[in-house]
Amino acid sequence: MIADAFNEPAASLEPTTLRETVQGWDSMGVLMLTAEIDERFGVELSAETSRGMQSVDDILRFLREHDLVRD
Amino acid sequence: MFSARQPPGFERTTALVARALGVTPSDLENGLRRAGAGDLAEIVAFRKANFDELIQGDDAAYLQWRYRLGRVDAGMGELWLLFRGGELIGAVGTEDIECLHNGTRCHGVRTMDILVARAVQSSGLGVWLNQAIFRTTPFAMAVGANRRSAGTVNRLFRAMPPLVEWRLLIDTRAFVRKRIPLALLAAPVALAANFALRFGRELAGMFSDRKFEVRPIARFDDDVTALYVADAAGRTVVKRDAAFLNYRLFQNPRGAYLAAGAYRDGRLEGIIAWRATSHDGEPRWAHVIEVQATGTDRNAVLRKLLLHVGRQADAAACHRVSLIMLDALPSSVLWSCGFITARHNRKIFGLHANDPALLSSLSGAKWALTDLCDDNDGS
Repeated sequence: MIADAFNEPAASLEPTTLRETVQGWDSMGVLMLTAEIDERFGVELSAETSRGMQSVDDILRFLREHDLVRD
Repeated sequence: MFSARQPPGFERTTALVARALGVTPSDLENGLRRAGAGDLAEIVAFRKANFDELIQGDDAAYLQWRYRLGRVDAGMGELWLLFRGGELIGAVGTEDIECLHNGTRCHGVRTMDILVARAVQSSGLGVWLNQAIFRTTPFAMAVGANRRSAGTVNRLFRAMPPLVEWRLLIDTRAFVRKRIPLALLAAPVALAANFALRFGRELAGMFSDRKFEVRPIARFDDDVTALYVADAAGRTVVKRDAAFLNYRLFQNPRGAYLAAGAYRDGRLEGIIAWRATSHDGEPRWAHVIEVQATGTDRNAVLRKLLLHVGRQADAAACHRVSLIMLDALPSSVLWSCGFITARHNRKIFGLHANDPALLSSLSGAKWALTDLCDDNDGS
């Protein structure tokens, strides 16, 4: 889902991957991620939370906190 | 539900972005309007506060030159502003475009200068601003993008072949120094290479068509429009006229360009526009922003004009000439003048049309574009 949102190959994304290194993590990527989380899980990803995400691990942590993925 | 790789439609984007901004969808839509002259000071402050590193020179002069700002006979496009509760949080600019396509004229816009306030980034507002502009025009094009916007352009617009840079090397010293670290050896090698390149250009100039005379142009007249109309056969071009060229090339506060025309028996058969520039500590280089010719001797005219700029750039102590284009002129002409491709340096080009048939027609066409379709003026 994260790879789809950012239009990146899944293999190129690791938990340690930083936001600044993901080209698709831009306005469109953020919108796609927000829409995906909203539509799949009915959970709101606020702009403030999204702005604070600096790595793929931050996204995973958000998903775990909302019980949307398991370790 | 939409496919993960397809951007949401305007209504869905509006709902998501409005929620992220803490406003209603109708507040978001009603917050977008054309900029007027009275907005100038606020726009300048907004751009300075959020994007100081991207601003070149006198920003107020640039904005007044670029956009109408509510005036008649000023600017060549609109600057759209988005307000939330009276606070300016985003802007997107457009330039009016008229394309000659399949024997018809298509009116649209080119988008540029999309800016989103730092405080509301990560809300998807950049996407929404693009989609809002799509609703105001039959088609939109995007040429070039910075790292922050490339992904959005790639996914919102139909990807077209990119514009690619061609370079004419004039002074090889920097090139040779990178490859031969030993200064004692590098200097004579560069000197010899410079001499050989200049000799080659002079030789090509001697054999270029003498039917044409190249003269500077200080102001374009109406005869220039014919170059674009005649060139449109079989290709899709952005139509230019004297008013646009005079405005874009000679009144630009970020830097005026030099122009020259190729004439046969007093008739204009081609034009070229360029300027010497430098940035980021680079040596001076010549940026060709436009080259256009028509007629049965089109290739000879183009060759004559390119060689002219090569000589001018040499005299102006430029180390190279750079031309970024998509099928605006044949590769064989560029090679014969000593240009080589720098394929790593390219600008993305994307199209969007609300009507699927128009999008299919436009995106299936053979486009001819130069850097005149970008707004960065070689920076």
